[in-house]
Amino acid sequence: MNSIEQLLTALIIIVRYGLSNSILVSTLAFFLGLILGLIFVFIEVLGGRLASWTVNLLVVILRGIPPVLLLFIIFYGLPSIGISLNNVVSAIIGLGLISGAYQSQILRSSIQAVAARQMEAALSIGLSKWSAYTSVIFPQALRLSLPGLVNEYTIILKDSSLAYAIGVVEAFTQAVHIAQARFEYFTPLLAVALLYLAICFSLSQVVNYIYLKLRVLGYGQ
Amino acid sequence: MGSDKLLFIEDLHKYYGKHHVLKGVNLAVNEGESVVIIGPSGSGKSTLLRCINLLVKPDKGRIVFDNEEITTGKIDVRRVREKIGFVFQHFNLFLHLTAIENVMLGLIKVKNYPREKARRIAEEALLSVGITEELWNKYPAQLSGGQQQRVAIARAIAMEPKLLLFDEPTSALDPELIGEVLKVMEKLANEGRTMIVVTHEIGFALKAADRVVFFDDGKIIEEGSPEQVILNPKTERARRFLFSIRELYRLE
Amino acid sequence: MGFAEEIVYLVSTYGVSLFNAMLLTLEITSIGFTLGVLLGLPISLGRVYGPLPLKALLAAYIELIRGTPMIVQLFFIYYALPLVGIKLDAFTASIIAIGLNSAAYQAEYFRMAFGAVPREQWEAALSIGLSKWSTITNVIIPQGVRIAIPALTNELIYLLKYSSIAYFVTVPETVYVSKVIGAKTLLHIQIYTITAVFYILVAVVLTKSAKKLEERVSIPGLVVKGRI
Repeated sequence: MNSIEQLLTALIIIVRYGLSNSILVSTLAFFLGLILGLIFVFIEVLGGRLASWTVNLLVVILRGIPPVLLLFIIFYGLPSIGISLNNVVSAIIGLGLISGAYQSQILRSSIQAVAARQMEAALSIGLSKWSAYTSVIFPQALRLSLPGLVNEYTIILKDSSLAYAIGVVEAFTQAVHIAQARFEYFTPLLAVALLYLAICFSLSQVVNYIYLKLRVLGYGQ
Repeated sequence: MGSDKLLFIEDLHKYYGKHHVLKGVNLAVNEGESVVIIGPSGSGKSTLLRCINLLVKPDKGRIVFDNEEITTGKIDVRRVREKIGFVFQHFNLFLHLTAIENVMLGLIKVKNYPREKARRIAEEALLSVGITEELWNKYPAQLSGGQQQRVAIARAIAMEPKLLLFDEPTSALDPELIGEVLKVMEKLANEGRTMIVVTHEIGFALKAADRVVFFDDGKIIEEGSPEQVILNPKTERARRFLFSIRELYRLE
Repeated sequence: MGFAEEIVYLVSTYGVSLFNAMLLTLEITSIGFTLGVLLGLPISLGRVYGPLPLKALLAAYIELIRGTPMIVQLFFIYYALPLVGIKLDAFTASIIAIGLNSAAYQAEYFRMAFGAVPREQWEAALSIGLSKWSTITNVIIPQGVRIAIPALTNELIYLLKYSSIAYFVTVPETVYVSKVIGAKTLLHIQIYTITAVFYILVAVVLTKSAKKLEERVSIPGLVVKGRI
């Protein structure tokens, strides 16, 4: 087999038997993170002092913990208190929790950006603070958050390779398996790198496109 | 070309894309002369000043400065700029440096003066524009607009330039701060410095200019003594422009 | 044994090896970060002010690094480079992978910070006769570095967490050692709690110190709209 063939077969194996797990884990983790992020930000903006203090603490913890460590805590640690999860679910929850902290920050900064310009206007026409948020600020803030959220997805996708640590057979794990079988790391690693690059590059084009659209809508900076 | 001509501009053109900003400017400035350029905004006055110290590259024409053509490719741009002081509309002080450090930077990095010498010259320059010791170690943001612009003038004159360019130096200032800057500029003109000032301050022009140039649509429309151009303009366009400016002043 | 007693037991039994592992984590992080600054700053300058081919090359490097997971980069350096005769031990491979990775991100942070320096500062510097290089070193970098501090702090904390990828090539850093202790004692959640607290505490201390540093080097009026 020449090296091009080796690269192609590695690509095919990774796409067929690894990539779907990468996408599954990243996508579910992303949506878990989105839900958590929304909850966090709702509590921070509209909740009481104790509630938002708790959320802040949670965000500090989740932003400070290495993803691998959190995966170990969930996969190896939780069974000792009676919660046993399989490795794929553990990866989704671990990456989702961390992403929740980051997504809440993305959402919060765009809420602040919109509120700075629109809150007074919304209140001045007689809206309550609640409806100012729900009908004026949040809808705009979500749009403004889109580039950051898509970017966050690429970060989760890259982090999903860390699920290798708990034996999830995603793209990177598959590449390592091929490498170990062939006693040759270069081509399988190149293959998986090309895959990540292709996805990340496409998504960064999406981000640019959204930025362009947002600028048309008057949100450009 | 006489040796008393410090600056000589011939048929200068500048395009920004399709936009023809300078349409053949001819201007000569004598050593020790102060020239005021007036004219509507967007007429290319700023671009003309930026061409003279090569911040903007002209597309056609010649500029001879200090007996040397500076519009050829071979010229050392930095040596030219060192000899020409520029005062910006928005002061453009270095935000991370104190007032005195702003003045010292060029002395140290361009003139290669030792720190002590640079400091002495900077102090002198600051005092000459009325910036006293208690302000020397303040950052630009801690100074008023008038003070900032005077520091910017000190930064320019400390380099001992042969020519000073002022690009609407008082347009960004609150009205009550304009006077202090104009006074410094008058003093510089009276000291016999060669300067070109783009401004709407016709009071300054009448008091301090040796010559006034009316500029519109990328060209010099009219030039002469301040009294002649400001009080008795020959062209209709200059008359209309000066009328509107004088109206504004009377209202104030 | 209760949870607290188990923690005490772990600390008293494995304290020394945990402590050494944590030192190693801090070492990997700081060396990786320093490498990142030393490479990232020139990369950003080349990317912004260099000739066109260099710009393209550096942009490609940044895209390549940012488009792939750090662990892939580490495996490349540790497992694939020996193929061309470059054999590195696990520790060296880790700090090189982290440094090369961080350089790409830091180059972007510096680039954005330099871009945030107003264009007028350039004009002012050129107008007194400073050269392009002199303007960069005397005006753009001093202002840009201050602007970049918050982003660089985030990067440092990111590296603190991701120094744990060295675990995958068996460098005995914090995650590796706690995994071993966990497997040996079966006190998984207890040992991971200890290490998690370590990471979070260091992250909090770094954040606080960076705020202090930012205040100390801050200059009145030198503020940027919208943090990068």
